[in-house]
Amino acid sequence: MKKTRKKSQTELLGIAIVVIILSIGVLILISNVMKKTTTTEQKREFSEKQMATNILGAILSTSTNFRNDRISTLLIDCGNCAPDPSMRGSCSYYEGGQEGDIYIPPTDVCTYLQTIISYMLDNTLKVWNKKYQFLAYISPSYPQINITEGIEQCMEKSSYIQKDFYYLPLYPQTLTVELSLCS
Amino acid sequence: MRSGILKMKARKSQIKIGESVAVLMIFFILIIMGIVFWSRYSQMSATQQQETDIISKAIKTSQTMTFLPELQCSTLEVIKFSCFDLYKIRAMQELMAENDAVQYYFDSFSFSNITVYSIYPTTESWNLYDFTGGNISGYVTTQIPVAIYDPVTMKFAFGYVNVAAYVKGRG
Repeated sequence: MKKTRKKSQTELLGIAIVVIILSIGVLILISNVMKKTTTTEQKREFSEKQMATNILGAILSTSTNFRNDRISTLLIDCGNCAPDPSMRGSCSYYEGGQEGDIYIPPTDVCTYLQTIISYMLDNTLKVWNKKYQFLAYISPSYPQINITEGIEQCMEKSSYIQKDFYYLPLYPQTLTVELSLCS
Repeated sequence: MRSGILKMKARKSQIKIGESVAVLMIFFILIIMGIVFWSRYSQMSATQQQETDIISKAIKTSQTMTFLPELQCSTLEVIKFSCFDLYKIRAMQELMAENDAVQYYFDSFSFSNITVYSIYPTTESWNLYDFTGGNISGYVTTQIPVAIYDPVTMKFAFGYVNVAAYVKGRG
């Protein structure tokens, strides 16, 4: 009786050792996979965050044919316009003309900016298969400029969206320029 | 009687031997499965590691490119972030036509192709560096948007730098 009990105890010990060895193997595997995913994720986040910063900086400093002003100056002008396009009678007005490869008809400053910035983003981020949203607003609910390309698909996983902001002074408020990016 | 007991003992030992053999077989099958699984996993992770390394290389090259004093815009020694000077781009393109220049920049750019594109107001491109160094099996690209400054007209254009890091082929 004693001998049988001792034997079954030894067998149980064997099973326990096998289970422990298997668990250690699985744990090592999981930790390796997790480590690799984190590194790739961090690289992706870094490059997208940097891209958002660079593209916003480059867009804002670009010169236009509209009074030879830069986009940042025109955005300040646009910030003083109403978000609703039908109420922009008092806004700065563009006479219309050829802007490099694109023709822009006579329009208000905000619509002019919307066309120019859309052209820039279409030829960069869209070509690189990035989803994006460009906003310029005083109040986020009523943006003066809203350019969106497929960003809705990323909204479920908000951590995948990289954002960058620029703030332009308007008296007495601030115009926020926001670019959200996701792959 | 005695021969019966001996026979029974022999059968018992045979069963025990069979048991041990079965346990050993299962043990070895588990070990073989583990080795096969591990080798496949390491092969997969080696490929992933190679991809990650190439992406890192492309990012590193594009970073080096962005902060290259030979291209950066500067006014009164103040450097403007993510901006290239149009005349410096043109000068560098001319310089890179010489073989010595490619050798000089090899430490920084390695096996890659670097092209600056202007998008707005005009579409234009300047190939600044291209070195394959023999066979290539592919490439990984990264882009960095930049402003391109013309110091004569004092206007900024919108563009980007495209860095293609080459993946070296065998042979």
